[in-house]
Amino acid sequence: MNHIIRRNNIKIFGDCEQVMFFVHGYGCDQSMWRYVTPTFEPHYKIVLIDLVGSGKSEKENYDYDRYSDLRSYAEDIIEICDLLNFKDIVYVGHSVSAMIGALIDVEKPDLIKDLILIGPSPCYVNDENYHGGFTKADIDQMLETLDSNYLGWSSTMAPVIMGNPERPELAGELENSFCQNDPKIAKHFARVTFTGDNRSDLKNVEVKSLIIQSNQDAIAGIDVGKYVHENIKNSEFVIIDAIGHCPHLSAPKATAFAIKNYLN
Amino acid sequence: MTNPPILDYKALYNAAPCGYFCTTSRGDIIELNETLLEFTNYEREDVVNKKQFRDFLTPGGKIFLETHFLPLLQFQGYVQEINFDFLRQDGTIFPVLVNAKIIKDDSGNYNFTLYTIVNISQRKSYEKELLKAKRDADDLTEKLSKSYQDLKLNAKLIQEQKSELETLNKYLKNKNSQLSDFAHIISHNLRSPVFNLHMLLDFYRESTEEEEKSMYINTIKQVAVQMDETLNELIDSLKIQEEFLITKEQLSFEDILEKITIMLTGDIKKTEAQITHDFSEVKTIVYSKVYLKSAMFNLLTNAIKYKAAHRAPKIHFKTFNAGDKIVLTVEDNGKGIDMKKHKNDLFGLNKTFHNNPDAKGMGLYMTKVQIEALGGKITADSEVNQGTTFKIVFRKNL
Repeated sequence: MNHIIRRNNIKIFGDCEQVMFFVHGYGCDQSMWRYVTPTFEPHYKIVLIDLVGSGKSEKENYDYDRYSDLRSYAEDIIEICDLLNFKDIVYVGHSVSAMIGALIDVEKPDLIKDLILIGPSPCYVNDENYHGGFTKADIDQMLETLDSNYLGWSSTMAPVIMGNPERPELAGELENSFCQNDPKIAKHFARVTFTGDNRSDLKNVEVKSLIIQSNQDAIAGIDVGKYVHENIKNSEFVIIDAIGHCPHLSAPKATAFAIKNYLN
Repeated sequence: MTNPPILDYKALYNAAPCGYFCTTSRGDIIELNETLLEFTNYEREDVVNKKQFRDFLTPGGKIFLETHFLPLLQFQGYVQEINFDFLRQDGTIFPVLVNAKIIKDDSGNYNFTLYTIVNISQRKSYEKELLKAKRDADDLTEKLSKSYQDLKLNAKLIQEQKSELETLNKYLKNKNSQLSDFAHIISHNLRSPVFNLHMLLDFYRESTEEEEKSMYINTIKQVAVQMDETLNELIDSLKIQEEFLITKEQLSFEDILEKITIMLTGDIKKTEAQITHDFSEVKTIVYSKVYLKSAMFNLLTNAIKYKAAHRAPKIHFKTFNAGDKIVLTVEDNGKGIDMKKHKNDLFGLNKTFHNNPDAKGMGLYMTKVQIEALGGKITADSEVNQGTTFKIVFRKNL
């Protein structure tokens, strides 16, 4: 049990019975929920995790094969719920974790009572009848860019800096940057996230769902949100006035309101 | 003197060697400086209120902006030294470092975000070289680490072979020392019985009575049988002793004593030696038959050989327990050894302490080697003209 709590850096707070389970998207960790959770803390048991490979999860022995499939992340979460005896949970997932929530419902129906998907995209790459927002070349270029520019330089040097015992202040600084993830793992996760195609899973989602769409999202645009809504039977769709792919950070009040409104 | 030029902040801002721009909370660019326009080849009216930061980024950059840059900016209010590729009007790119900061008014309301853009085209090419060098170094490290693993594996194999050779060598050495041991036992332990046979033959020849003659013949037969047995035992044990194992068996002290007494019948009769024993406390021992027989035989022949000049030898064998040890003592009333003189070399090779013609200086050395080989100890206590007591301490659990 301790192993799993360590593995996913599980944090639980709030005294109520009803579990509200928040899962962050690609690039960040559980701290991205900090502006939203205060709204729900008085009425829910709040559960936060870091996906394996992100944030302060266990990164030693990261299994690249296992985490090449979003289903493995779904299995991790099911395992956590079994272990802590969580039932009929409210699941709030952002971006890739919205899709992970959908996969959990396919894998283990009835675990999730309400599925909240923030900025979901089942597939980022366009094809004949689908507009994911990016071409295959865009994604390849993004991965290349991640590799050679952003993650390449800073992350190549970050471990060197962080491993510098004579300058502990640098390590602290980098640690505080919540989007600093292990570069090799981050790149792997980026590939899994942005090259995946889970469109066929959507029709198997049975649970009552809410899709929250930011009205300006360069990663998962409104068309993509609508597509998800059309393919999940019991879903509601709400567009909120927010900028960017992380409305829970840029517009936390509007995001919390949309969730609260739906749950009530 | 000329007056210093009057600072024109607007001119400074526009001519600064880095790009500036400012966005609303919604991301629309509401102001930018001339330098940034130069960097990008845009006209001011094409950008202000028409473009956002993300419009200057490649698709990959946009994803990084949304997944890393903006969350970090919203989270901590500023972002520093993030590397993007920046798009010019013609679609070409140049690398930049971006710093950004959210500006709030006095009551904490979000006003706008300030961005600074530094063109890093030149150092970027160095960084690329560095990155390439690092990747090459990583590859090399990986290769080296693999070679190291191979070497380690080989070293392990060699170590294993070495240890096998050492074991074999140890085995051969042991075998060798056993063989030389047995050569000693044969040459030494058969000398006395042969000498005894000669003596018995002399008695036989000198004897005139038929009854006595037939008794000597009988005894000669018995000595021959015992010699034969001893030889067979030695040969058997040579065959059996593989893998450093010395065969151990349950042995009766009384039986062994009886057998060696028969082999020495001639000596005993000639010297009128009296041999007694008390094996009541410890009757048996699990030990090597060859070694025990050899040890007791040597001690008995010694006691007879080194008898006092004017009295018949009295030799007493006794066993007792001492903790986890068994002790065998052989006490005689012989001429004794000057322990002060010979304390250290009593058990040495080729030492004789008397001018006895029979002493070959082999018996005590051999006995000590054999006893110690099985974890035991042999000591002596003696007084000149009073007698000698040898004490063998055997380990019970071999």
